[in-house]
Amino acid sequence: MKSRTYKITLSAILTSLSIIAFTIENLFPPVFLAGARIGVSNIFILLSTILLGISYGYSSLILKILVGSLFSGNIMGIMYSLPAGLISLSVEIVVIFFIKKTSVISASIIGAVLNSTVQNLVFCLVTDTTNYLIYLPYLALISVISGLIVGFTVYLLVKYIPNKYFMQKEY
Amino acid sequence: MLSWGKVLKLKNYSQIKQNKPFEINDIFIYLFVIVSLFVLFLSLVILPQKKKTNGFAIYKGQEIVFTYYNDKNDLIINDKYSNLVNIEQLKDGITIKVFTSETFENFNFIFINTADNYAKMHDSTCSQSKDCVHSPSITSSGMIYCAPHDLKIVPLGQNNIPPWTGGA
Repeated sequence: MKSRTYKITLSAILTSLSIIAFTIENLFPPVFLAGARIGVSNIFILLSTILLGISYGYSSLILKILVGSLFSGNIMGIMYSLPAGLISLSVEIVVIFFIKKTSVISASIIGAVLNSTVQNLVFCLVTDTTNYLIYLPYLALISVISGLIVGFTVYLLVKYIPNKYFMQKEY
Repeated sequence: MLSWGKVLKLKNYSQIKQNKPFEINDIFIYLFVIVSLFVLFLSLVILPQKKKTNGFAIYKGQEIVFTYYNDKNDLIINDKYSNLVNIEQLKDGITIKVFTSETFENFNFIFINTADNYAKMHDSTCSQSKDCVHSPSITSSGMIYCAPHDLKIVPLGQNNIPPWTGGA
């Protein structure tokens, strides 16, 4: 079993890559709708979860949202991203680790759809209006595409990463 | 000693590594997503009756700043924000610049097209990504919201937002 220091170092690298991807993504205009992103940073969150374990996945996610929002100058985004990220990662963990005969791609797709749905609902609660709900179907559709891209990337990375990098050898 | 992973019967790394791009139980997940998308489009886009809007209102937090009535071609500014709002009438519409404070450093620049009856955020000093500027224009439904400045533009008569007839 790899040492704790090795795990923490690898977790820090993946979290940093996630924050960098999140910050760079926020510099670009959104995809068709406000708040819609490809979600490249989620590749590293999923990778952290699969390689290191569930607790490392959650820590990477929380750090990415907090630090990434500070760097991108959008602190209000924490209010929407944090609950959405936690719920979507939890569902992805259930699909990847608990349910047999499921792929990482399907976990990523359902996680992405839930992420945008929860963000939209929180947004409606904060603004105290349901006007923004009309964009929810379009956001969910864009999330399917972004979930597919992220899921396929993670699938390829997990398939070709050497076994020695899997910290959680077996439970 | 039994680890919590074995108790919960979690998949181990070799099982995840050997995953194919498509597994048999993915069908249920994809079906769930497709049905959800169908229900969302049906309930939020296709079925709701689109009422023609009479104009637009701009809110700062819960307070109304500005209202435009398309049928009367009339605009009303809240007296509290009169020194923070600059309005310019153009051929095809109205431009409204709403400053966030007396320092006049940060603003939102809104355009209301009176001919085609739509509103759009043209510029803002809110954040790097400027999500509000990239929001689609609104006509009879939808909303443009600038989170850092807590400013929202809504069509009149939508979802409990009553038209406002003047006063502070």
